[in-house]
Amino acid sequence: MMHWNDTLISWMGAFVLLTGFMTVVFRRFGNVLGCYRLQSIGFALATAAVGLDLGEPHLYALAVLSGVIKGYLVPNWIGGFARRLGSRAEEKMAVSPAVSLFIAGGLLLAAHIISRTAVGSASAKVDDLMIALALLLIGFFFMVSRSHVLSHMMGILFMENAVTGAVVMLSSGLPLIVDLGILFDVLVGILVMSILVFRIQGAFDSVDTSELTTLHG
Amino acid sequence: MILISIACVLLFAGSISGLFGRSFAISGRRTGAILQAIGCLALTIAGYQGLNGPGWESVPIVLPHLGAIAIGMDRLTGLFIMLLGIMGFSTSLFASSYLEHLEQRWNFHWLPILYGIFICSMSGVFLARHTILFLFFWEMMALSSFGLVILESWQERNRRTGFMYLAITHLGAALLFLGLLWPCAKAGLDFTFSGWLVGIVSMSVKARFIVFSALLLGFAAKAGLVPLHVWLPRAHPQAPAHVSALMSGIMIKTGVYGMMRFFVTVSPLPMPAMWGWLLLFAGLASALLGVLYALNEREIKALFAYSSIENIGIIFMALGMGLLFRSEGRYALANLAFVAALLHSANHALFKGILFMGAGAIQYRTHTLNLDELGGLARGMPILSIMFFVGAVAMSGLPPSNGFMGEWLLYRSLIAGFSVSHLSWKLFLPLIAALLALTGALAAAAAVKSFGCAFLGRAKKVDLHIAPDPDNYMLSGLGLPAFCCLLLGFFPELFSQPIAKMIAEFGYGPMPQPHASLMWPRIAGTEGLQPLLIASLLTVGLLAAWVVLKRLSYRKDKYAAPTDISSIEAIRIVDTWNCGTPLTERMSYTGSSFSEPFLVNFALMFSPRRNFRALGSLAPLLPTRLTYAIRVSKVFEDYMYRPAIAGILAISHSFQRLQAGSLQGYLSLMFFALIVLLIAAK
Amino acid sequence: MLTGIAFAIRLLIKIAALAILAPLIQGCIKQFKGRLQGRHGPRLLQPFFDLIKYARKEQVISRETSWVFSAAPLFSFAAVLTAALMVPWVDRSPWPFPADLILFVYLLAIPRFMMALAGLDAAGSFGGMASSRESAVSALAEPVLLLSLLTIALPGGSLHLEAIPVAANSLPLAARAGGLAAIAFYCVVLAEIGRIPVDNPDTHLELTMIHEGMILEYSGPLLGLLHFTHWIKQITLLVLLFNVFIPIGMMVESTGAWTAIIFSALIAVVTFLAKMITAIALLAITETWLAKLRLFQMMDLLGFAFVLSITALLFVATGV
Repeated sequence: MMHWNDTLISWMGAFVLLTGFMTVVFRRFGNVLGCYRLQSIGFALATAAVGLDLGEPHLYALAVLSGVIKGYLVPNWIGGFARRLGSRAEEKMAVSPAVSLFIAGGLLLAAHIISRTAVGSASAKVDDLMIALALLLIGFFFMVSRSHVLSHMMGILFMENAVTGAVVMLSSGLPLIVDLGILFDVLVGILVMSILVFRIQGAFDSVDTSELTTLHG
Repeated sequence: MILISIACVLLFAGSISGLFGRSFAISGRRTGAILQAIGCLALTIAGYQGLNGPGWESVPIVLPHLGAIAIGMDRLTGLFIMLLGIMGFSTSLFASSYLEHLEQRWNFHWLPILYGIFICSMSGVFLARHTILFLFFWEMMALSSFGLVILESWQERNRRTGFMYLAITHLGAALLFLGLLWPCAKAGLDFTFSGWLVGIVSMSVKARFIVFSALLLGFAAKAGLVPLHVWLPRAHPQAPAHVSALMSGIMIKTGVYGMMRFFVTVSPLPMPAMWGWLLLFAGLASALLGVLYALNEREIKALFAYSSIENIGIIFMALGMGLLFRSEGRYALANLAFVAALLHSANHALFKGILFMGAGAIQYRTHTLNLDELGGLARGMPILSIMFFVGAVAMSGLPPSNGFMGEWLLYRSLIAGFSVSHLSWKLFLPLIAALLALTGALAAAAAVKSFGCAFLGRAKKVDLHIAPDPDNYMLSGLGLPAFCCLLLGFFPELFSQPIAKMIAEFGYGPMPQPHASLMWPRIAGTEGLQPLLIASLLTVGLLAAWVVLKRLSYRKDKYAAPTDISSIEAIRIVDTWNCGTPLTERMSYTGSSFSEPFLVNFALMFSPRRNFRALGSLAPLLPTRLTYAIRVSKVFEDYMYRPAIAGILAISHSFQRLQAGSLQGYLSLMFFALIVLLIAAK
Repeated sequence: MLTGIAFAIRLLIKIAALAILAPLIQGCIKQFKGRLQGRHGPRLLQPFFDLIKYARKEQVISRETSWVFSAAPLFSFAAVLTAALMVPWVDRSPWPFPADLILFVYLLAIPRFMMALAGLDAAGSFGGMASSRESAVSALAEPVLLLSLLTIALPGGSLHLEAIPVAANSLPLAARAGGLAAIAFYCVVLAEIGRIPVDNPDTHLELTMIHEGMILEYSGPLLGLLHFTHWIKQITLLVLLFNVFIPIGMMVESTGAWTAIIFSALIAVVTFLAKMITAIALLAITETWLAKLRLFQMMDLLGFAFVLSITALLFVATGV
């Protein structure tokens, strides 16, 4: 029988993958945000479990911090922006949710093949790497398939989650100071992006990138 | 052998009436058809003996250069001959009345002649043990069915369809010539099947690849496998119904027979797994595309023709699984898959026979096959509707019909592939099983559409008073396959056991007991299905509910007047609820409206183009008429055949420039050709 | 002979339990849902009273109908009952007839087929609309139903419903796949038993309904039979969800000291009841929490479930 924190890690892996699939299928921005919240909490729990597994106390700190920041503060901020921008209830999507789901399934398969060649099929890490890679690709695909600026922001955040998750799951995480730096970067990034978004909104009355196709000098 | 000769004599005797012109054919319609039916009965008995007993082989003629022209009977031939006999018997009975409404045609007398030749040549294909003879019968079959397809040749569309059919079937035949005669030539011009086997064993791997590709393409073109299916949904609806039943039931199965004969029985040869995957995916594509287009079809016979493509796909999936297992050396599981393929072939022949003949009976009575115009026939034709219902249930593959038993074996063999330790097997085979379930559910929807829109609801444009049940000849023609469908649903081992024995004799192991078996009673610790038990459980549940309901409805109603009938049986007949407004037939769901959600769900595949227009002087605001048209793209026709045809035409046009008309120009061309040839030949 | 009698007794007990529990669970769901939505909710035993009332009513039948209309509920009932008898409830000792998974999936297709026909039979638009929609939704649900169950069954090698929990229990890695497959299966259950977000069981607004549209023309005893069939299907799928994906507490062997048997049987019954209460809560919360999806968004939900079960399959295929 596996140790319980191993089980927790593997369950959290499945859980964040689930949230990844959910992001693709939702049309409403609020639901996407909820997915991000859940995914961040899932990653935080997995981080804590890895910390327990390896006996690394700094991972607890990281888990708590990222849980609070990415699971609570960041979604709340972005939710606030969305309300102030008055975004549509349902978003325009380049491909229908059902099709994007199957694309996401294909990305998972691709991630599986890549991670098998990267770490070898015998390694126990192959599933973890596959999940992180799949989430990265799904985040990227999320950006490709939607046109709203806030969705693009969310795509970046999903990718960032995946990268951090991969680092934690594959190695025992970076030194705490680096992790904190990354977290801080996320906050600053959101700040800068939100300022830009409001500037765009003020200038063009729309934050839909599909309507911003003409370049102005 | 004697039975086969009797059958041939009777089949030709039935055709004689056609030889003396139309009026003679009209008066001899019933006699001829019944003679042919008796001939088919002889075929059935011969096939039954072949399926269950020892085979035989005989050499009626020995020709110079060609050697012994042998025919023979074994279990494989027996199975197909028996099916042909059963279906031929029912279609002949059906035809004896059905042909009545075709009598007005000037070429009516050709029908019995071509029909007799068609059945004889099909049995010849199954019996032949000599490649030249096989190809001879193959061509006969193609030509006679071509004749039957273009019977209404005065319509431009029918001629085009006929020639398309002829072109594709000849393309396939040309490939078969290559695939069958090359190995024979290699074996020292020994044209018997054993000579072919000797030849193919002695060939190099590359040559063998070419031979097998040619054979696969040839048989797939006849079977109607995607992408060689384009002729099928056009040709089948055009033939008379009893011929469509035979074409869909038996003729396209000659492709399956050929695959079994030339791919499966050559068991000593190693066959790479690629062939298995190829067949599996081509079969899956056929199954999915076939059923999706079937759902979208408006004409009943075209719907069934597409459903035939689906079922051929399912059969080829099973063949592919068998070849895959063989490439892994799992002969017992390969046996399971081949049994699935053959059992499903038999099942499909039976239920598709019912459905095509049922469609013929509908056409005979109502003169239309358009599902948007039909409706409500079940009240006028209760017996026909019950038989059609059996066919529709079998087409959907629901237990306890025979359709389920074949599909169950295929599911089992797909899932048994999980025990092979390749990741691709473990991942793809369960996925394909799920897609097969999708196919099954869509087939059920297509069956609901065909049965529901024709027999239920209200008639849209058809007068129901002229549509009573057809006469007993036609009903018995449908009744026999309907009975066989139920029989095979309750006792599939009637076919599956001899088939499994046959495959085992071809050098595969016996069918695996622990993996899958259709049996009664259950052996401890085995995986299996007990068809009869399922059927009896269903029946008990059905009867129990029926008895309770009867008791509830026969009850004294204290409020009703004593003379009122409802006091005996508490049933009141009223109008259908329609929010209080009167119900008109235009409110009833048509075939097109039934399939609309599928069009939306699978829009990626169909890319439907809708054209909705409001007509009238005050058009968009107060339209007097609304028109709605929808066009659905057909993937292979739009993206493969049309560009290919356009390309060939363009190339031919570019060559037209050479045809300048001046003699000197032609001479100079010949001159250059001569020089080039001389240089090339050196 | 003795095993035959024992089998008959087990069968009778199961049928009796079905007859009692299937309406009861429906009552519980309605009651709990009412509480969650701030209403009192109907009585727990209301479904029984409904059944009795339907049985005493006269039948009102449309003049457009044919034999299919009266036959459809009977066929559906027989098929659903057969399927329900195959599902293990408290013990996993094998049944004398094979409870094959594929057979189970196809038996559940019979009521859909029959009811889709019955919907078309009365010639009204509502019935036709509902049966067309039902066919479209169930065509998407069926592959997920099969694949999510297969994912759990494949590593163990047996496709018999009573053997699946054993196989799933013995593989630690299958647990994660099981979690994903369970969610996929739950989505399909919602579609199959016609609950929010796929269908709204409480509405009688004709344009939005699927299941209610097909049974619109039924009345009296036939309507009662249809409701009863639907409740049996509901409890069967819920039991399957819990017993296959969370196979705890079930009786394994019925040999040994009789005290041990009774003890394990007691545990099994108590866990079974606990599972049912969880199921009721789950359904009621889902129905309260979610809104009904638009018809053509159903594809998203079921596609989501399909991709989840493919993911589960990937875990199973690589992990074992």
